Amino acid sequence: MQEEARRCLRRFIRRLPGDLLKLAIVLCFVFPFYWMICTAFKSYAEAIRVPVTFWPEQFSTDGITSILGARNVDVLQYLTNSVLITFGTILLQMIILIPAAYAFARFRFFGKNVYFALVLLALMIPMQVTYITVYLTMADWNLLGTLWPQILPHGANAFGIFLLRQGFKQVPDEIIESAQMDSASQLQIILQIMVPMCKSSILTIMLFSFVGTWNNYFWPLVMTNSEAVRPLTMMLVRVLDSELGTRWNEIMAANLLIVIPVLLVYVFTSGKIIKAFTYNGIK
Amino acid sequence: MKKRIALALCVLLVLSCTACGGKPSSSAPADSSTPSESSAPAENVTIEIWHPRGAGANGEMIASSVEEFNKTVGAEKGITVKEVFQGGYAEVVTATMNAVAAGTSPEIAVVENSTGTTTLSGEGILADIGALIERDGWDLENVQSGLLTYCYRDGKLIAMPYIRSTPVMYYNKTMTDALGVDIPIDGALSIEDFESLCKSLTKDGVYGFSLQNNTWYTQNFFYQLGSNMYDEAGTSCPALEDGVMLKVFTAWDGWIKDGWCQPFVSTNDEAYLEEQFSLGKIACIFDSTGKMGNIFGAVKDLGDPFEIGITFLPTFGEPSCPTGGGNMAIIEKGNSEADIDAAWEFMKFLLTPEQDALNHVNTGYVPSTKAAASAEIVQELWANEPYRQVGFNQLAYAQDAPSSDYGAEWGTAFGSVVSSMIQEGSISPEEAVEQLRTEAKNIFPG
Repeated sequence: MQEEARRCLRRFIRRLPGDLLKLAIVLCFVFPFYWMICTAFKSYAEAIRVPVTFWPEQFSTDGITSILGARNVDVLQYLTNSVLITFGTILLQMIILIPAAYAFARFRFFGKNVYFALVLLALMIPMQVTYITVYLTMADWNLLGTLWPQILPHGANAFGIFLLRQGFKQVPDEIIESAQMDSASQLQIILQIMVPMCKSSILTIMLFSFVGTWNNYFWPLVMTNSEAVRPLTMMLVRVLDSELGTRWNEIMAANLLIVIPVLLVYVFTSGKIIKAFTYNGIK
Repeated sequence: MKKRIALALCVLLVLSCTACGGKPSSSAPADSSTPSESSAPAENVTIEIWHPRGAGANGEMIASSVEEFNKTVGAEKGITVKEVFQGGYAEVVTATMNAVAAGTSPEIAVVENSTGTTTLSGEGILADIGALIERDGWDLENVQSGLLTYCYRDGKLIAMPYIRSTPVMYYNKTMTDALGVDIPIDGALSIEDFESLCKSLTKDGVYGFSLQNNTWYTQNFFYQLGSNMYDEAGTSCPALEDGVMLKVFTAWDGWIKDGWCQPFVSTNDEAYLEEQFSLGKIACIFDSTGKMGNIFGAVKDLGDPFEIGITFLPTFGEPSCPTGGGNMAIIEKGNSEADIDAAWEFMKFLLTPEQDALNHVNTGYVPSTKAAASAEIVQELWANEPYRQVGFNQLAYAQDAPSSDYGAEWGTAFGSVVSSMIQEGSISPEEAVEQLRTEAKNIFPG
């Protein structure tokens, strides 16, 4: 029994530095979220007080009401645009990247490696480099007053194609060959075998797209010239008019409103993401 | 069933994305900069004003101006104005330049008065407002001359002041009253009196003063001492060579060493100073009149622990103040003559005494015109809240540095060196000037 206790203690001591390190890392990631939530529910006076309070002394919804209640600002319109842009982007990406990843993973064709290198190259080019050309193209197509400039340019998701190609490559050839023997078409193989077997990878890509598009500020900023087509991130900049001063409780309330959907989606899909990045041996 | 619902949702999504139409174009672009004889467009015209005025009092003001115009002058002359918020000053410039390149120019852009106006005029896309003024016999003398510095380029008037501000000194009046010091509302303290006041105000946990790392203020000190940040051509920094920069740096460094001036914090220093002032931790700060609402609001939120006083910026010599805020400019490139005329009609409307006065009363920006100062609502406001008049009165001493194409780069280098001297205390004023001399050789031509 004593031996058992000693073993436990030794294991505890051995693991202690690693656990402390993990705890420190967790704190580094969690603290900003905690601080955001905490400040969002403080009054402005409490938000700037020194010494700081680590929990609101009196819960105040001033920050949230000033964001949601700003006059001349149609919150519902911005929210609808955010939802349409985000889900439109994800849908378009799926339509493009699943067949693309399948082709790269399963077919041999002329210039395949060059094309794939081009896809990887796209991963490395920041959007700030391409936005002027894209803007002019959208203007030529007369699409500037619509939501399309915020969706179409993101249709080809290079990271998604790369990740899903790896997933598709892990599907054993035997499964596909047996489907082909049963006269399954390529589309049936994609939809009924590949997609269900790589569900985790697809969900991961969708989540990354969701977070990236939902939080995007730069792209809508340069692609839109009308409130009618702008997403929530742009609404927050409008409401938090820096010309009038920095109100921390309002800034944090605005951040909270933007982050809540992302957090919820992450909580419900985190298991799948971990799975997507773990090699499962055989699919 | 699930598949049908999914398909229906996809169709709905596609339709929604297309639902919002593009900007209606009114007529063909102008091929000449010469304004026509008529002062109003013959047919219905829709124009856009792109601006940085967000929500709150700022956004409400422009929304109500547009609404009022569309109901009155607009309805009479067949002009409809749409106001579009485009982010901060920098974003308005970027969006305007993109739109001009794409052939979807707005008619009016509200941009930062110095760099913003200079950038757009440098692109050669702005209309000559002087010609429109001459045609209509509009009274330019009514505009505050101190606000027109960056409105001219190559002898042409290419912008008008719209949401303009000027920095003033905010001070903790409860503390100065306790010392028995009476600070005039309509004058500038000499730098010696200011130093002595701030020393007296400094006590446990309270600094007498703190200054932002912002060329707005240092340039003003240079001007007071007879020098400037740039020469007329904008290609050198006279203060660097005539000893004025060293004098100002030595004074500022001395204030820090004396212990009554708190060094700025490098990030977000403006917000930090406003907070510290509101909390009663700093007794005097320099800040824009545009921040008046926020500063008074913050102190009120904290339970009005002290009374706020406002006065002119202190001076090394004669009183002076820089100006800030935005100018409005008409975009000529890509717009028809009718669009430009309509834009000018709206611009004139914004500069009517009624609109200009409302803009001042509702937001704290200084009136752009002299006539607005005589408006009843302004006189009433100033009678009830005399400090609201300080910025306007100080404009009699307005000055601005000549514009420089190297301003952005020089400003960054300047801020970085001042940071080493004031915040880090790692270099002396002499070393700071020497470092800036080296930077100047790399930045300015020749």
